[in-house]
Amino acid sequence: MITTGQYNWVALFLLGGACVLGLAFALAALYRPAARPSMLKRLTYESGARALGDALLRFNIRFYILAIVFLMFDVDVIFIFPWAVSFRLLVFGDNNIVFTPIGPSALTEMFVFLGILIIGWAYAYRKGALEWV
Amino acid sequence: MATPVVIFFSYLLVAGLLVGVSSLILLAIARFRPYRRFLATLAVLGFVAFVWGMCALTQPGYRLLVCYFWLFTAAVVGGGVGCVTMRNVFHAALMLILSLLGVAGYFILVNAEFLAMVQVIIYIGGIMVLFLFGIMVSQNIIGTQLKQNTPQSPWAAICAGVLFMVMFFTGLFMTLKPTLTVTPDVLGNNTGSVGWSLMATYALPFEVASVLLLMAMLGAIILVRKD
Repeated sequence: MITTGQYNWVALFLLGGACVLGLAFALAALYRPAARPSMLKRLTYESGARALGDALLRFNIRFYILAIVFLMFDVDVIFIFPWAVSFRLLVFGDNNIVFTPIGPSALTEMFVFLGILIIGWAYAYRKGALEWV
Repeated sequence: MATPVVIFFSYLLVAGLLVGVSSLILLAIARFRPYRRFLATLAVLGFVAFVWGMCALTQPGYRLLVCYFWLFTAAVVGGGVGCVTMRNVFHAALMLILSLLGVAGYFILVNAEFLAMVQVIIYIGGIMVLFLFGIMVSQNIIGTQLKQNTPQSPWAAICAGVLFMVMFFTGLFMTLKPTLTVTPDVLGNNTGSVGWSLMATYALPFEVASVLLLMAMLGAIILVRKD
């Protein structure tokens, strides 16, 4: 039997959120004056100024290095997350669960992992990859 | 066994599947583009009929699970079809994100929460961001209306069909003879068990992975920056 019981709350939350949003729009539709869409009203709102051009314009290439550096830290998070979730168990163990805790070396291992990555961070910082170029 | 209710829902299921799939196929063909709103409505109606029949035919305890499964399947298939039919390449990438989100839902259904999180963070947060950046920094494909039909399309469709049949029959025989047994998690949750095996069993590969990440990061910075 697959247990997805705890995720039923997530589904319920999403459904509830959609319902609240729909209800808000439905109530607003009852009270607001009738919408008469015109070309001017359909424009993108840019603080009152008329929007020029398309939103999908060409981005500057300098954003790309930020994206790549972000991706590296993104992958780091994937390694840190399971460690953080089970850290207390890994160090101290639990009497109810039969497994051998690793002890303080769980912390050391993560520091070695992060220490190697700090080199990369320091390099990126010194080269100014994290600054606006 | 074959009560009128079961027969009715079986017909509903099959009819919904046929209508939905045929309207999706018609949606992918450029000639039927003027009717795409009608075809999309038909596809959604077929999907609802299919899920309704599927839920009515399963055991009461599994109905919610079946609903989730077909909802995620709709996201995966709809995202995939949208990805290969959208005229705007940016919208196609967004549809691919929808498809990947559906796969993350599958992972949750099979109790692999950690994989679901990896799917969202790495695929959607990382790789799709790179995809979108790649689209946004290239001048010529922004805002242009792509034509996604090429002379290779029929061959691609045949290849996809063959692949689908292989996977379909594999899945069919796997459900007939379930050999996959799930070992219970030591720590009670999936993510914690992954952390434990990273720290205990695979400690050295874990540290080596950081060197790999370091090389990737330095390489990216060196390649992108001129100095």
